Amino acid sequence: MELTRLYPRWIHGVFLSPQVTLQVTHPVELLGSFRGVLHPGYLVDLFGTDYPRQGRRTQLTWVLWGYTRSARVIFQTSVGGSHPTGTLVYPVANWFEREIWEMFGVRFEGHPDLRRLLTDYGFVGRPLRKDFPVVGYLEVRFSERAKRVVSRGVTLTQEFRVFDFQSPWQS
Amino acid sequence: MNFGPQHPAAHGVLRLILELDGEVVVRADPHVGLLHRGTEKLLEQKNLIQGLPYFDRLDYVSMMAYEHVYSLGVESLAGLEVSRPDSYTRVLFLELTRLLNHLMAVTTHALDVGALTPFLWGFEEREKLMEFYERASGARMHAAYIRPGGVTSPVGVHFLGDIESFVREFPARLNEIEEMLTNNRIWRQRLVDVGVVTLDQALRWGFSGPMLRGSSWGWDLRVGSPYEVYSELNFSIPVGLQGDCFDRYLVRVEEMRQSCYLIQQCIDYLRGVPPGLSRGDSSVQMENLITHFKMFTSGYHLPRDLFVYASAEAPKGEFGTYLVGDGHKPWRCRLRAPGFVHLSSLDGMVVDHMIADVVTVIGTQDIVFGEIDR
Repeated sequence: MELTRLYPRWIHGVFLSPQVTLQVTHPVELLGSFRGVLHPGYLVDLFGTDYPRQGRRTQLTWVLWGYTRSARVIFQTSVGGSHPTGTLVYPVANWFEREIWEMFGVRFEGHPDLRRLLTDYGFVGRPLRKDFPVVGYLEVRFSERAKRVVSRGVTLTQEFRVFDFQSPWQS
Repeated sequence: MNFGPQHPAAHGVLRLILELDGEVVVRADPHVGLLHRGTEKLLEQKNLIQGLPYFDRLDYVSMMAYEHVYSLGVESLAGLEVSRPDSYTRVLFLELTRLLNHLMAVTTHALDVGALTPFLWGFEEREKLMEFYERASGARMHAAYIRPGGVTSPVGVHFLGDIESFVREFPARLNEIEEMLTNNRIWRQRLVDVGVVTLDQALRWGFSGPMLRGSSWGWDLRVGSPYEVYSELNFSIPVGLQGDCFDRYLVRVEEMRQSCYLIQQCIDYLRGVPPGLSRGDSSVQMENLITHFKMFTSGYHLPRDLFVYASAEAPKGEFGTYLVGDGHKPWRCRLRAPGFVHLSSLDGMVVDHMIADVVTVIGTQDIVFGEIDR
């Protein structure tokens, strides 16, 4: 509550349960100011969540920990295609932002080294978006004729099965 | 120069691009993702019970620690309570897991810098630990033993006795390993003052676990934000002073001794629990059996759009998981792996070191690609 008075334009929602969560608009500026409050603290995690029905579909979440106050604080904001980088405030954000870039396609402006991280070299697509199929588009195999690894469209001998139990039981 | 992905000292499938000036490293660029299996995506397709075994396969040398964090997350979203005996059983196995992980970390680190013998001895002990896993759950590694709501089955009296005799003997085995390493001239030459991380760097790079404690910051989630029954148990947190690889080695060895102490306390408690207390009567009454069957087939439900960030002190550092409920599946399950964070600052740790020290630093980071690539 104190925080909303301190930063009225940056924080537009506070939830205390189950964890202290702030809905924010300018997270990077807030991270910079918060570093003093949490000092010494660190950025535990930064990741995206996809909500395709929203206009700004990717929700970014920063999880911070302050040692002296023993407090975990979560910042959340929804972004569209790009967002300023937080690597200048917390260098650890470097790989987290690279991962969000490849998984959700959020471009971090000013990031020193925005390359793909976990997927294959030359991979196309944003795998953690909800509209990306779980089996993907391409599969790789070793071609005896070409003597190298080649990729082709996925063929499944059995269709991928998802059982959706719409049971009224304990819902 | 390419270091890996097939190099044995790369601990799995790390492809490290090193820019060298003679034998001195100018820049190190880790290329990860060769073991990427899309666990976060897969977890969105599975119901809550099916999701659990994926956590065993994240860090395949400290399996139960990862299941446990998932269980913590689901419990706090679904509002489940864990009974005290189950909580003690969890701590018992979490600490066995810590032994399992640190044995791997220390002995393969020694193997990388040229000492083969501790590896052979350490794996003898790991074999015994995996037999405990097998007796508890039926699987040597991927146990799926700690589940949301408790543990699969309680441990029996004979089992406790066997664990106790192991824990009694284990410090002596640890002494043997230490005799081989701690005052060994070669080991010290390879580790002391190599890969020094100052406290300031460790905090900025977001280190956790032994990597942070090696840099003289006595932080441990077991004490700092206690979960399970750690607040009732008696143990201490070892801290290094120099922040070099040798201190992190000492921290890990001391943590193993503390784990033995914790395990002993759990055994003493569990001995006093009358058998059958921690179990419900799901196998006695018909209605309960039906409920149990429904739980396991259609899964149970999480409230929609509620989320939680659960974390615990895994042997490698802070492992966290962020769960958003969406009926019987998670909408999003983020995995925060400690090794991922540690590896991302490998560049800062190895610059201006010799190429042989890169092996030492990779060893001291205790990286496992199951969790980094996910």
